[in-house]
Amino acid sequence: MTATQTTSSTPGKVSADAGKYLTFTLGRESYGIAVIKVREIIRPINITLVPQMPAFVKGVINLRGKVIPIVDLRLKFELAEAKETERTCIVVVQIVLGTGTQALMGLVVDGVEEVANIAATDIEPTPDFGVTLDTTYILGMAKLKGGVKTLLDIDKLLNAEIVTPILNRLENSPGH
Amino acid sequence: MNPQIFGELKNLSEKIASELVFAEAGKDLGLLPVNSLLGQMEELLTTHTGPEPLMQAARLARGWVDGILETTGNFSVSSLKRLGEWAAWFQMAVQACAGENPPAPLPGEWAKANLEPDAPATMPAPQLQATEEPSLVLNIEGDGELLGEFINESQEHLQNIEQGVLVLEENPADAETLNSIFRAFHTFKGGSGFLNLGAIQTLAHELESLLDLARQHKLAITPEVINLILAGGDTLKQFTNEIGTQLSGKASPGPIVVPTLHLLGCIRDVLAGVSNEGHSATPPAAPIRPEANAVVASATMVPAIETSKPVPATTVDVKATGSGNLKAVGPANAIKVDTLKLDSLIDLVGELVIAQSLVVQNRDLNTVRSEQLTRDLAQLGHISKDLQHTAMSLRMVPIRGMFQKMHRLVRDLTAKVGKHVQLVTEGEDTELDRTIVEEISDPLVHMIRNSVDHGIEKPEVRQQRGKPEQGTVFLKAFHRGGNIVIEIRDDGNGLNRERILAKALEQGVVKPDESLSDAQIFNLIFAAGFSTAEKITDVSGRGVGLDVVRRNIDKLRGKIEIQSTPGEGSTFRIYLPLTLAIIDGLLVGIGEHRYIIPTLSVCESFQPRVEMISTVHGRGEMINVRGRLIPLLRLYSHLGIKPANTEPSQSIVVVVEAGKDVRCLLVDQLLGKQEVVIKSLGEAFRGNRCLAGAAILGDGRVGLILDPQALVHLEIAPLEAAA
Repeated sequence: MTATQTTSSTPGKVSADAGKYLTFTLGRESYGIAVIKVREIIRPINITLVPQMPAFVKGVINLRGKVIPIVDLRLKFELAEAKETERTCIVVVQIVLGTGTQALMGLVVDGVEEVANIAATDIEPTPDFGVTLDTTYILGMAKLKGGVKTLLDIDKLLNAEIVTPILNRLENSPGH
Repeated sequence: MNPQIFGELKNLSEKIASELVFAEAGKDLGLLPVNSLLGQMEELLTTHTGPEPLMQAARLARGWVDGILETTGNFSVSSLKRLGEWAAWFQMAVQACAGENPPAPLPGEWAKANLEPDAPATMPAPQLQATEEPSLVLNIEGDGELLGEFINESQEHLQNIEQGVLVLEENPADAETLNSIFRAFHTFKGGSGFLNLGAIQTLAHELESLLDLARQHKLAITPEVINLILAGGDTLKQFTNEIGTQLSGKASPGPIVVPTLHLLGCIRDVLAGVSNEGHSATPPAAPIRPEANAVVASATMVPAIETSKPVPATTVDVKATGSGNLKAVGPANAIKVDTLKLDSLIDLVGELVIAQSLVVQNRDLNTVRSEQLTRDLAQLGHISKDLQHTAMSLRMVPIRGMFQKMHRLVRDLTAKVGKHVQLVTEGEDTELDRTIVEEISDPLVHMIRNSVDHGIEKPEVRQQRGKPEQGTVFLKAFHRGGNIVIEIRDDGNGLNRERILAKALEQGVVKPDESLSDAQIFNLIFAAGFSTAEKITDVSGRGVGLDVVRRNIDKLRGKIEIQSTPGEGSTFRIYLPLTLAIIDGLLVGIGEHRYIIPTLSVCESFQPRVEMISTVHGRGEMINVRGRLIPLLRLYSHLGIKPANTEPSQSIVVVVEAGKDVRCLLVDQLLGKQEVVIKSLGEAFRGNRCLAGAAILGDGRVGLILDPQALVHLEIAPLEAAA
């Protein structure tokens, strides 16, 4: 994964490694994350709301004694919020935080598809969308028979896009 | 000479050093290997024409070894010591030569001395050598793990040494204690030799010899000897601390230099004194020369700083003990377990208890009419409760170790401030969470220092006041109402209410028209930068410290109470939770959500009547609680949730207190009191200051724990926004 972190910010280069990816859907779009990052997939359970958090942080759950945060990827990607269906699940991923420590986080997704073996030849570089779309956390696009899957660098997404903004927001928040 | 040869030379000298570690006086074990290693060394040096100092040193050693082989054929105490020193010197010298620096000069006494079989009377006259302090270079890459173990073990040994010495002060002839200190130094020597830590090994060796003489009743344990042992322990501690910081990567690897020569000289003086006394079994007086005493005393007080590297001073000593490995002495059958494993075990047991209660409450199961099932479920309940109890107790350690450290502290302090103070401890067997014991150590050191420095009066003042000349500080630990209380009481001066108040006014901490209770005034001493000491002493009085004490205790979710009677003394009581893992919480409901408020900060709760509520400028709301106006904090508006009720007279008010701030929290209902296991919310929510953590509630859902400390500092939202 070290190579991906240095090059993924330059569009036009393929930074995703070939290998197994877990694919899931958000609305009509399809995404993939490296299987190695995925700890387990659970059914939605009662989420405890945490106050003063951005909307995409749904709250925390009890995962067999561990308290882990839950992020709604739909809200994160600014897609419309969806009603919970029987296909909705929480993908628990293990990420490496900026501080070097490991942490578990749950991602709410519309549905899990499959574990796909993606060959290097199937992966296209991320197109340059210009300023309208930040693609730093996108590893590349995989063309599979089911359509195009966006491969996510989950460490980068959750760190840079979620953990850091939360921290910044809280530190600048009024009241303290 | 090329670097490779130096490497080989170093290698050989290291091998010699490790052979010597296992050698014993009166035996020939290791003598032949040393002889052959020395031979290889000489060969290397002559064929490659090594530097003159090294050649000279090798020749010296050859002379000694030949001497042993020709006479008794066994090592003697003195020859072992000499060879050990030699090996350490040689390693240093090789290193210096490899770096093209001149090596330290050969100690002069070596050249004169031949090594005789054990005949202490002819041991060379000791003298303080002005040679360079030996330095240690760690091989972190290769020995990292071993070094880590060495440090871990050392901490225990150091503690044993320190505790032992304090016992010796009371009872100098205690054979068991002498043995245990001896063994501690011995193990130190072995370990350091194995890891090639020459300087530590040499020091440990000398100290071991000292204890050995005492063990054989050849040396009386005098205060000077005790000071030597303590100073030795402290120096070893400095070494291990330095190694520890380098191992953990907090300091860049480099040579470690801790001054030892001075101390070594003193120890050797004492040793020589004993040998000069001849073989009389029990010398009546301490065989130490006066000038040696003086030197020792200064060495214990101020570790001589002669190096470019910052040498940990006495304050570091305190820090080190704080992080030290606390373990009760005694033959406890114990194994060491990684705390992470322990925590995950406790987590899982907690989950098991929840799962068990879910099973017991299962509706389908409850329709089954079976006596057997009921019995089995009850049995399961018992077992899981016991299991939880045991799991919780795993983290508990007795407070004894820390109290013993305080004895040492008081002992050193009294010498420094010129007062007579005794420390009386009680309740050493009280157990509390290991983390708390570690965290409370620093605050306690501060408090004891304060008591000794400010509390207890000078002997002459005490006499005038008709008190015994010797002041007493009581240190007590006991259980009270689900908390651990640590009480520090002194029979000294007491706090000066007027002076504290005057100082607070001067610093603007309180306003002139504020009326404060005694307790509130005494609490002011915990404000940052607050000191009423007339003069700043070495020990305390700079006004830093007590605010740190307060912060540490807050962090542990404890509180502190002060009572004081002028002229009679003061009492500080620290209330601490039994364990950091569990808190006693008040479960409150706001709308559909449940929150936990730590019970320790809850004063009371009630349903306010309409006439109790008043507003300022139509915005700031206050509740009149028996004549005291307390700001009302509408929790739901801060937490961004929808309450069942926005009208205070329809809801419940919980009065919380943190420091000197009090707030009324508006909640919908009280759901009960519960002991909950605290879980960290993790990095993502680190910045959310309203929350102290999370806990798994009885139904398996997560409940959030509010942090009263942060709540009382929240801005009171204007009423319009809140309503």
